Amino acid sequence: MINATDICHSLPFLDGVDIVIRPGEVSGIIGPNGAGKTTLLKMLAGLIKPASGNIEIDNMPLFDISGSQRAIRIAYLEQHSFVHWPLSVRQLIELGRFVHRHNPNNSPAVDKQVVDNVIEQVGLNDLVDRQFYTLSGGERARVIIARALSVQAFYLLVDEPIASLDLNFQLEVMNLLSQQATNNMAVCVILHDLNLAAAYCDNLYLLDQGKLIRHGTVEQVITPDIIKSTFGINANVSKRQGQIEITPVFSRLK
Amino acid sequence: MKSPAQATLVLALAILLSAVFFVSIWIGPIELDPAQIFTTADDTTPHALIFWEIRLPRSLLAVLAGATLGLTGAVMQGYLRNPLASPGLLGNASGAALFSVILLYFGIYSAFWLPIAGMLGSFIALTLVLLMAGSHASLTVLILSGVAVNSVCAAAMALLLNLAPSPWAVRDLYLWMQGSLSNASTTDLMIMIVPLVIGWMLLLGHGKSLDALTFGEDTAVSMGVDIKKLRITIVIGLSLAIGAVIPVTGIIGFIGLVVPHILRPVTGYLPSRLLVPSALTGAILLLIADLFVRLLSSGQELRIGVLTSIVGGPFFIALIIKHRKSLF
Repeated sequence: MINATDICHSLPFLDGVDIVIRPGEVSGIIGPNGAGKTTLLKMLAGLIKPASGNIEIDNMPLFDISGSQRAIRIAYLEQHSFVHWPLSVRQLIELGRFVHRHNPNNSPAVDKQVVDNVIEQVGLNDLVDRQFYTLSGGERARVIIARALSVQAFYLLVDEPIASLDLNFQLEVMNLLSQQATNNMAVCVILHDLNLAAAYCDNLYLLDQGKLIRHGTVEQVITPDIIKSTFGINANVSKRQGQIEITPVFSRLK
Repeated sequence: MKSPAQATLVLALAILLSAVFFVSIWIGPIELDPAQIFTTADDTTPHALIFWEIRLPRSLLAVLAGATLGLTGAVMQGYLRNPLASPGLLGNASGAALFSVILLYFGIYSAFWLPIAGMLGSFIALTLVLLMAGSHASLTVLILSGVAVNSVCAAAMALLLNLAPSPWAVRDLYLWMQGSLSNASTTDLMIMIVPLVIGWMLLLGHGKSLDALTFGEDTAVSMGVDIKKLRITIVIGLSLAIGAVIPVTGIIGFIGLVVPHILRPVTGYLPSRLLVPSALTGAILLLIADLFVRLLSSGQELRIGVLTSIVGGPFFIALIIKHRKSLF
């Protein structure tokens, strides 16, 4: 469990944020642009140290464990993940095993087995030898996630994985993430699409201007009032077949 | 995960390097007679002197300098995630050159102090670039800082040339700046070898971290790369290696820039797979370039830095045109 309490930071601004990431759950961080979502996720990943507050991972202070130990526990995918060299799909997924390079129990055979399993699980068998930049946006997103999965971490922190993807790829990526939670991984994901957040997250954390406005189940967090006060728009929130749906009230100028 | 193909490539390059080295020590303006070198106890015969005091140190210097340029080029391209990066992009080569020129300006031709000055100049210039760019610098800011420090160093060298006390001093400085292996001595090699090998080891030890940088710094840190330690190691490694070579050879361009490009069709783009092959290929290319310099020159010897630029420049243009659509 990653447990962050009373996180405060000046630039970018965060003010007294609490968040808990549990195994077997998909936790969603939502909120308008500039709310502090990415900063919070980077703190949970150990990339930014908060000015004050505590972050513990499995009851240990997150910033007391070494970078290599943290890397074995937490896989982090940044927003707009970028690949600087035109490597093959297999090479990129193999790079996820980098975190185990000092692990005496690891071996090239284990690395190969894990990478083969991830390729199978993410459905990249036909693409392993393809160069990353010849792939479609959806395929690239799956490769990036596969790299993180080959770490075999306990925590998967993902910053906006579906931005600029077509709807089918959005669902594909979200299904892949929720599948990890069913395998008892702790998944925390930043999402801009409230409908996808409502559909795939077990609990939500709504941030606005560096403050945690509300957290809890989808029903507790996503209400017309909350959407109006944080996003400044009117929206209808309905429940269809047990699923919360958010429909913005459009006011198109004619 | 190492591949057999990688091991085969390294072996093939090592064999090729040995062959070129053998050719390099035996071929020159004067045909050497092995009998006069190895079968007599007298090591002051002309052939023995040419072999031990000129050919061998010169060829060894070509190997050490070429390997350094190839390796540092591959490291710099991997570290900056930029295929157009050269070993001296962040000011380290011009820093080493400036400090060497300062010593030469004051007539200090010491085989001991020149490499020290080179390493110091390289370290100061590189540290200056990193401090200027800041700890969270984007690649663009880092490269721009390098360009700025390179410009300052170039201006300072031009000033020294301008103020040189005699036309002969100007000529000496100018020729030194164009690069040459002709001044190689056993003393130079013995002084440069220790910092050089330490620099190589530091750089070779971080290939996997360069691979992780493929995803950018944030992801690399999340994968357990200690980015500050990596930066410091690269600064020290580059300073030792480049700083030890430049005072002896002068400035030799294009080898470090071009070598990784020649190899990528074979090794692929993973930075760690380029390091050892780049060092071997750099050594091979500089040996061949030096052979051409020795065989083509009559009278005033063609400077090797001029040759590598004359051949390397158009070669690089051709590479860009050929691969411009797929170039990374």
